[in-house]
Amino acid sequence: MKKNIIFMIFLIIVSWILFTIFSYAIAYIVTTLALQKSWIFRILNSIFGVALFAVWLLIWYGITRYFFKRNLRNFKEKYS
Amino acid sequence: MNLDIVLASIFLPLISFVATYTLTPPLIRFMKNKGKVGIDIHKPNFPEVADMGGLAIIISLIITTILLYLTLPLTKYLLILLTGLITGIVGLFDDIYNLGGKLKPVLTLLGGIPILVTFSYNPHPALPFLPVTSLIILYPILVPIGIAVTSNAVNMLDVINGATPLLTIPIFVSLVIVSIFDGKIYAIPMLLIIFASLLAFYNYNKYPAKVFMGNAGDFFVGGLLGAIAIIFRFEVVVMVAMLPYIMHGFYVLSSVGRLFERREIKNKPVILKGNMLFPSQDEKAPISLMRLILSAGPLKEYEVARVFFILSCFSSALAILTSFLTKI
Repeated sequence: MKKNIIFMIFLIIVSWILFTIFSYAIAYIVTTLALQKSWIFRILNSIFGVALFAVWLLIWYGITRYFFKRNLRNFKEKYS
Repeated sequence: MNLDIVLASIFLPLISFVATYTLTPPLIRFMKNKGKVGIDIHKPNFPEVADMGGLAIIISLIITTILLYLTLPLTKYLLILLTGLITGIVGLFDDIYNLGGKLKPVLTLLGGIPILVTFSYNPHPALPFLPVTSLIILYPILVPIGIAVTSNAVNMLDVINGATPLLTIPIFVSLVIVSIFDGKIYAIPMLLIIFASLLAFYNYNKYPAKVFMGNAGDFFVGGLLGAIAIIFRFEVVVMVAMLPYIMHGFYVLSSVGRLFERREIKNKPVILKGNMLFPSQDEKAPISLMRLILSAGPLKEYEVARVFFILSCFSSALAILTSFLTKI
């Protein structure tokens, strides 16, 4: 059970760090967006915000999938 | 007024605990008589267990929230209850008629209406290292989405005995701690009432379960969490405390690639062998939180429940830390 807990706590910490970094970046962009006068900058900022969100999700999923697959491989070797 | 808050924080949770504790056994008998039972799929003999036990939580919280409102006349309490009731009713319909994987999340968006029409939100949530944000356009759009996410997330992860109480109790405890530090003392009685009710219900829902929470209870508790986050301005704290839920929802939806109903999934993520749970080796099986946990080694059902509780305690502690970071 210890191994399961350590693995999951590691994933929670990774998720939390990603959340802190990306939510800060996205909220900063959205907040500065409200101050923009030019529509071109507003559109560019919105696109950048959405792109950052997509990058966040991709990194998050990629890291989880990598460690999950690695664990599953080890599991197969040990239990089958 | 402060004395009222102290008294409400002591006596109303007691009433909530006693109400849920005494209401659940007759509800179990009633559900069994009506044939409202679910199969406990993580036990070797697949026993039948009474379903929709969450109704006891709903009834006791209606009573205690009204009592709380009579003691401390804050409309915020009623709004939180109303939001929970809307999502709870969606869950109740799902328990009875099976609404399907797409309609259910859409209907839970309705839970955001009471908050939106009364403007009971502040579009300037505090984030770590960013104490003031300005989400004037985005925030009202996020209100119904937030309610739908929290209510569906709680429902999605209620996969083993005692999951919902074990995962949500640490969240409510962390919110009480943050309320004390942030001076949001009005939130404390409401949080303790819900905490006490969940604690009483856990006695019947813990391994081996005598009753399941049911979709009504899950959606109700999830709706309450979402409403508390928005109305009492705990957005980031709830988001971080709910990390195990968010991770589960995100991984499952990403690996399946669409909204779905639990029953639709043919490639189960977890396999039962004897009394041990193993992760599925099937490439097509969804990556669920339980499968992730089990990928590090097989466990018994009650051990998975313990891991759930420890993870929720850890993410709730991170949520308290995050709350301090929002002040930097």
